[in-house]
Amino acid sequence: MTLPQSNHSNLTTWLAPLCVVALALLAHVMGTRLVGDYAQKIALDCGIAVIAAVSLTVVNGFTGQFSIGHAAFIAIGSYVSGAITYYTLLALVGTSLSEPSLLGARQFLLAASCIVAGLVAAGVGFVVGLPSLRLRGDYLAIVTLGFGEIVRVLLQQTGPQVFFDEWETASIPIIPPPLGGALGFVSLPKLTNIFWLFLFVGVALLAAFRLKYSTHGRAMIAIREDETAAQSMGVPVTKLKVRAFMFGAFFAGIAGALYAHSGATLRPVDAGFQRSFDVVMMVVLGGLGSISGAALAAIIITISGEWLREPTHLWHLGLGVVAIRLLLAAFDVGPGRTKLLRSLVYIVGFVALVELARFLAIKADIRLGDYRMVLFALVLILLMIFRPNGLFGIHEIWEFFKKDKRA
Amino acid sequence: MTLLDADNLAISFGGLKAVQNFSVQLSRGALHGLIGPNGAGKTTCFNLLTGVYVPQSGSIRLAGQKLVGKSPDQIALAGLSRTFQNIRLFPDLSVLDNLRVAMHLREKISLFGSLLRTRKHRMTEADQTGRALELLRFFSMHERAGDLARNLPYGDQRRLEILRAIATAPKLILLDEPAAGMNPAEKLDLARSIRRIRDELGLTVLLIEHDMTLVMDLCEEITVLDYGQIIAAGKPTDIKSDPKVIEAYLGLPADSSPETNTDVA
Repeated sequence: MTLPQSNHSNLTTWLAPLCVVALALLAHVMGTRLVGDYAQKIALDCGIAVIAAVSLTVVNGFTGQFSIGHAAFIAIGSYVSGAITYYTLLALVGTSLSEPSLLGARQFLLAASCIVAGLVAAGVGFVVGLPSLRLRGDYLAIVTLGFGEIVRVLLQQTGPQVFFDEWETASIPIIPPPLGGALGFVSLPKLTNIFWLFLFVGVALLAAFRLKYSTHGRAMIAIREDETAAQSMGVPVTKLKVRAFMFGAFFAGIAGALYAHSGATLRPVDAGFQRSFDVVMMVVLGGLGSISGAALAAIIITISGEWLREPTHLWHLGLGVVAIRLLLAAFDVGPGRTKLLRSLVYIVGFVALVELARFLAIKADIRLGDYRMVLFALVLILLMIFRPNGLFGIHEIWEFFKKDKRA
Repeated sequence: MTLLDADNLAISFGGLKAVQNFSVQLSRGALHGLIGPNGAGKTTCFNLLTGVYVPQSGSIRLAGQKLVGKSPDQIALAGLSRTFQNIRLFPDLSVLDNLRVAMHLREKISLFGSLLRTRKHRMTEADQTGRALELLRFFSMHERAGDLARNLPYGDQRRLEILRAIATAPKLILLDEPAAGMNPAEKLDLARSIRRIRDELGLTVLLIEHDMTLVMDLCEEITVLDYGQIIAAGKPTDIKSDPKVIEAYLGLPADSSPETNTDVA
């Protein structure tokens, strides 16, 4: 029989990474020329959230191991890379103040610190994962929760940060490391720019997709589907769980590193369960196991979190969504004409509800931004009612555009 | 030539002696049946052989290799594969991917090789797909390769589970009630398929089955379990007339009951 040969796969081996670089460059040029600082900042937040969500998808979505300590890996990444760039710049240049440039020497320092941060996080993931991933379900969730709290407390116990004026005189202790303790780790160089961020977003997405569509990824997903059956078919369950955990921790560490250099103050609470749940929420909302779903959910959650601070008109967006929905129906692709009316009613109803809320709030002189966490929770509840399996379920976005793929 | 040599296996759960003194020898190419009333310990024997349970005593050798103490995935690698009494496919994976998962254990490609999409990775993928499609042809299921396993009709799910077990490239395959829930026509078809697995693929088969016509027709050797112990073993014709087997399945004939009553008294 003839094997399904595909010559173009040879091309994608190199083309896909090149596309990632090209797209990151394009995004950088467009981002810095066309939009303001605020929009750029939101783009940075979105990108970091995407990397975090995609990295957790590999653990929660592929192998089905419910980890709620993911923020600990992000925090480890951010502290490790922050320490590297902050103290390197302090020692070499004397100041940590930096403005992002496209390809300056400092940007390569950032890139290197990202990789180191990822490797450290992956190493911690190995140490934590090896004993705990033998547990199933709730037990693993509790262990990962505990791990997050341990990291939080350890970060609180770190020594005071060394600033420039003390740099020459003070003896710098290695234990505990000078990472600011409960006061937080401040004045980190603002090195994260759109190019490097999008580069890492692209690498994370590419790696996750390539993992998913490989023999290793399929074996991981088989563990989610039926662990006993997978093991009986020769899938080395513990080994693959640990690998998925390390893979997730690696990119979580990179997300943390990029976050640390986006002008943030690092605090020990960043490692706590509150942040972990933020990431879990993105993965669950996107659909367990769907990379594109997790990425989209990360973007939606980040943007809506910002939008709720000062809710503006939504009807433009509503019109746009309605137009897309009608186009899909016209060409009968994706969801096509099935449930067209119902989905239109949902979209219009949602926009009308938001506009009504805005109108009433203005009349009653209430600042909706003060209630954003309540509204946010409300949106989540609605989403879970109407899409209980997340936005895309276990599918990737393009699978909705293929005919009779999902019977 | 002996392929599987299980000797004196025993396991008890608390005070319940689930299986005792279970021994079975399979020669290469054998078609062996394991029967017994409900709760006799047949599936427990399968679980002992495949490493789901660790036997408290006894030894298992597959082609000379010791299996006791190995994990299920290592035992699969050693060449022993199985199906489950209740179908345990990977429901949200495609039919093709269900088979490709079962091929993972013998792949040499590293995780980094896959991430970098090396030549070896592409060869592995193409080779897996090709072999999976070939396997599907074996049961004429290749047209359903892209369907999700959960969407297959019941009979096809059973067949896919057998194919998945074959995809691990085993020496011995254990089938746990493969005909459960099938109608007579499907059973006949299944019996033919199982014989083809042995004849065309050269696999050794050990199966648990409740359908006596199927077992008597298909198997060359039969082991009968009751209350965790072997009560009979031999050719189907001998098993059919064995009084102990008849007793286990049908109870004692009416005229012999006073005898046992005196025992109890």
